Amino acid sequence: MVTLGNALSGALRRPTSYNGVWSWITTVDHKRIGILYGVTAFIFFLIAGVEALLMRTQLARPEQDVVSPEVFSQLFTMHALTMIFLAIMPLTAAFFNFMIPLMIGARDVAFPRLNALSYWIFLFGGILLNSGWIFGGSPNTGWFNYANLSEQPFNTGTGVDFYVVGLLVLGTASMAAAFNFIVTILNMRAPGMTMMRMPVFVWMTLVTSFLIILAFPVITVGLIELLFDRQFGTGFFNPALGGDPVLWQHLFWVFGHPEVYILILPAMGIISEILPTFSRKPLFGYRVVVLSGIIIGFMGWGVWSHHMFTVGLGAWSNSVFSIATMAIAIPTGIKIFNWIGTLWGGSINIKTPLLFAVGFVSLFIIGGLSGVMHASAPADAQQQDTYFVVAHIHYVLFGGSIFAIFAGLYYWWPKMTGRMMDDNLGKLHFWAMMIGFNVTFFPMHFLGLQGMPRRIHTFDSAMGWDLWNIVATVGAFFMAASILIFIHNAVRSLKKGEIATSDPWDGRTLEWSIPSPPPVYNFAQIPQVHGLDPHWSNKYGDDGHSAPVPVGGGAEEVHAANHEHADEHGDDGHGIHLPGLSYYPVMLAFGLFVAGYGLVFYETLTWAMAIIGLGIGIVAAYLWSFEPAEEDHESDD
Amino acid sequence: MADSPAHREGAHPTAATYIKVALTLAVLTAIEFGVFYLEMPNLVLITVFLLLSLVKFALVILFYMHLKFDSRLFSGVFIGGLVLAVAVSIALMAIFQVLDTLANPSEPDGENGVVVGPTPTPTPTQVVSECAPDDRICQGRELFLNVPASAAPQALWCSQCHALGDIADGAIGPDLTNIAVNGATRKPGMSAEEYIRESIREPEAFLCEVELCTQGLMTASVTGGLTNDEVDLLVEFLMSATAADDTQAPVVDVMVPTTPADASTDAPAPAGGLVAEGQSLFMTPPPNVGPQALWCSQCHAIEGLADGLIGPDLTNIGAVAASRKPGTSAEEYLVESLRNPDGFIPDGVERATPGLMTLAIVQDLTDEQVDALVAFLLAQQ
Amino acid sequence: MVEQTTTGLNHRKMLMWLFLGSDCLFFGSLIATYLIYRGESLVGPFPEDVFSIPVTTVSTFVLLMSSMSMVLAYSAINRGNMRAFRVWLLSTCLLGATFLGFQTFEFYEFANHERTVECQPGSQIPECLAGATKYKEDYGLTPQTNLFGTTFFTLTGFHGAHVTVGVIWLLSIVGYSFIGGRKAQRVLTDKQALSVDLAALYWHFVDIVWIVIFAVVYLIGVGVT
Repeated sequence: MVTLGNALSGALRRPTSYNGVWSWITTVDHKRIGILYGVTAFIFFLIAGVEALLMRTQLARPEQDVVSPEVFSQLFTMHALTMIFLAIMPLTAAFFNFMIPLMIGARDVAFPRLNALSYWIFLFGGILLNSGWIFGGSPNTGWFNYANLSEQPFNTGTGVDFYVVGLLVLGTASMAAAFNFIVTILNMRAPGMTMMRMPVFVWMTLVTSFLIILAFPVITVGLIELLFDRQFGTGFFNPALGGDPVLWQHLFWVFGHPEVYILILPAMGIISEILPTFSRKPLFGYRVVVLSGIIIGFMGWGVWSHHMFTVGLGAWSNSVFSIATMAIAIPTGIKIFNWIGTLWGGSINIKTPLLFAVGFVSLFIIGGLSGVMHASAPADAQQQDTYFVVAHIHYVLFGGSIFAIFAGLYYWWPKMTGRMMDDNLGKLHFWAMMIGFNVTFFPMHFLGLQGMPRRIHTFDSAMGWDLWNIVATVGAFFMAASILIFIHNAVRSLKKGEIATSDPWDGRTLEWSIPSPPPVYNFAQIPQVHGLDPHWSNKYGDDGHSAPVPVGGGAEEVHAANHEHADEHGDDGHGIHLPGLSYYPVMLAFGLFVAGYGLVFYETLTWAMAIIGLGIGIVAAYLWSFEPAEEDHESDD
Repeated sequence: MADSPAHREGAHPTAATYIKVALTLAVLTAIEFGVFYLEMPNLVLITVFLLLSLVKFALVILFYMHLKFDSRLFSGVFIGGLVLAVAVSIALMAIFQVLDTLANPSEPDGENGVVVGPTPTPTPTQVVSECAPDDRICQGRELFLNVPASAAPQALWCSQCHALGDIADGAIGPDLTNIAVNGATRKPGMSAEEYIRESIREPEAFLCEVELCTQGLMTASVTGGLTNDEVDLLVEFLMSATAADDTQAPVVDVMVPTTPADASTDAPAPAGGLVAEGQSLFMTPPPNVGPQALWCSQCHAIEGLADGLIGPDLTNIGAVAASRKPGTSAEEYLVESLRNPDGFIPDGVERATPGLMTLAIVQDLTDEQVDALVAFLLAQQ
Repeated sequence: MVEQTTTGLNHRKMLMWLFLGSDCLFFGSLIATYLIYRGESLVGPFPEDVFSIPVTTVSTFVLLMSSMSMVLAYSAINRGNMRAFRVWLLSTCLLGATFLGFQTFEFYEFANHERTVECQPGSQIPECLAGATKYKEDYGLTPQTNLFGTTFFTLTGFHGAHVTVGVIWLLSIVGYSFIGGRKAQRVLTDKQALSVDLAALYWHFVDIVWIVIFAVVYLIGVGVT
């Protein structure tokens, strides 16, 4: 009897080829999805970088007119949105995807097709948000899009609609990915890997994912309310009906502050993996580092109003949020001491990943200190909306997150591609970026204290801001040059880089126990874990947490043993159940994409497109639910 | 972490338990329904409703969603999300001071309306209430005379625009003397009280056909900040105030913009003929525009000439007009401001209030008169 | 194949619980918005003008009973009793649809609400001219009327959307149990009827959200003055 499930599955023949473009489009392999995330996000990173360079060119000299004020507003809005939602978050997601299953000893994530769906929604959401440049204007209200500047009578173009719909779509992608990683981390650890034996990066991914699933619903509500205000004339943020625009600020920052930790906690996780490896010494105070990461995640919920000190919420509110904000410096400071403690007395192996990691620690300290400065409400009243704040966020998000992401890229590149990057070029990249970064952003502290407001299109020479602006612009182009060095290094490595061994850095965690790049099934045999830093234990014996003592033949034998296992099973992973390819994630994401345009252009398209898109999504969801997760043999019964 | 590797299958309740739970839920809902009709203090009602719904909530998640029998991890992630949602909601409500007003709804709204920054000048000074706590008519009268804290700082307030017996003599809006009586005839189907209330809440909802009823002059932004209780006070006061009103209310200094009737004599002599004509036009309305409640010089200030505080200061207008509207020269901008006052409201200009200066004021000016005014204004450097 | 997981808990069930925890924040924000704007509407109608507590008590009762029939359906399929399962699941769908009917009725009533006004002397209203002392006038509530309408329709509208998704989901399961043949029997009873369990969790969650809305929006909304 032909069942309904078979009938529906038969409607689209299940993709089977593991080569070619379609194999990438239908892939559910976490490693391939990780690479897709990484490449896409890096392209968005470059786009946002070009937007930044345009702004720096405009501000290089006083009273220039390189871009019009209208375009400038769109540039600073899209630069922030692209960097935050389309570059930093998905770049960390690339590491989550590629590394989490390897680090916990799993063959894939818990929901491979959901994982593919997250990526495709992210890609389409990114295209949707950026297509504002072509279709009638990008958002121009700043990344926090305050009401009532964002409301219909004051902002009539489609820019804000692209913002609302783009973020709704991207939020869906982030949440789907976060659900997936929580289940993966809680439920798919190798035998013996208890929670307190998980690498710190896995821990930080877990905390970040919880923040995502709890914070994004709040912004979703805010965005829906704004959408209703704009499209149905409701009064959420409309004072004419009694609404309060400040409510948007609250909803935005209740999400927005956890979002800041969503951007920085994975970076802290990456650093906590790199520093011990290159100090040849276990992480100092593992438990404390993990605990302070969790505490930061919790406290991130109690500080949102420090973005609103100048709104006039009253002394009580400002005091409470001020104290809570200063208190966050404690767990953050603890982490910094632990990282320094890890380096202290270590046998330091100065390679590019370590340089970027140390760069992260030093720049993050500067960003953290200016953060504590505007935790004080009266000081913030002076700094609010000046370049001082711009300097602060770039020290924590660029000096913080981006430096850590480059550290991670250099660290895991051999594992992902099977080839080494040139270490000298890497160091050149580091120093160029380090110098360019500080030349760009340190003067912004001065500009801010001299009163230069952020988001201004140009300025008068009489303000006395000429010098530091031209310095910042020179620094920005220097930094751009350093990114070119990285691209050159990466392309060179892919073409003729040295072939990487399975464990080029003498790593501590499980991903280094398998070949580079890993086989489709990751682990021929699921490893057994006995403690922290399991791969060091494998290589050097389980000697507590003290410095590793080489035993037996060392690393190479372990690799050999692993390769034997792999050979036994053959490279096609015979006997290992792998998730099958699927068309439906990309189809469902495409449905959302179409529906998204329907929402943006609801006036001209009269909702038809939204309904068509939703229809595509529903059909895909039904087909999906009748498609077996694994390539099983049930279909012929 | 793993606290129940497999489902504790035997612990699952039977159908009888499920039905008992359903009966309890039904009974609790019935109790809620009953309590709803009892006269009880608000705090008691809130507590009872929240407690009963909490019990219902708990019954469903413990038995129907099996949290009582399932892994603690499930309880953890769900209750965690729930607690966070409740905590964030309570914090938000505390910031918006909803919690106070829920428990004591008779109190006026909190100080959300307090505005940070410089207060526009002609706001009448705040006076300490001299009314007895239960004298609502007196309180309404104070409200009529003084801008309350709940309203945004205002250029003009009730008593400055409306006349009311011997209490106020504003000549901008309709005379409210006897409004308690003739209010009933203004809008078909509305009692005087309803009409007054609507006119306060939605000034532009309905425009009467009496003298000085000017469309768009009194906007919702004037009264938008008033609490419901304050509107009640105003309505009660206006219903009680008739021409024969002789109750004593605290006398308050109301700063009415002074009319510079003789300022022109002190002013520096204008340079050219057109400019001189413009200046005289600025100071006094020409015969062809008909009687006006307020004219240029009463609303706008020009140093040494006029000191109106209702609209933007025009002392330097000749110098700054070019920068007000992108793509518009100084002259074009001034002509537009005179010909279509609401067409463009510049940003960041103090006291540039949409809807205050209306077309009705200037529409009768001839082109020559506008040219003279523009020439005069351009000379103000 | 028996799924091996670290915690012994099923992946999909854990996913569902995480989703519900996350959805708490979604409804939490909507309810917070409603409460913040409570009593801030500039014009009527206000909750006490339009709400009918008896009607909503009945629709609340209907939704609570749908939870009972849902859990009985789950219990039946867990014992392998397909017949009882279908009966209970269909009644759940029916009760859910009834609740949606109530909500549609309520929305329609609110939008077309009228109020009685006393005739004033000199009134030009036809009813008053005809000698009546009172007449009716439109006093409808829409999302654009005031903050109460804005927040109320958004909150209960999203709850209604959740119920609608639930009804479609449950109907899909009923449909599958009829046309899926022997495989459906196996899929539905597999892993302690996991696929039914997930839908049931979602359904009960929608129910508890309504328990909160009924207390906070309706009872406290009208009862507390």
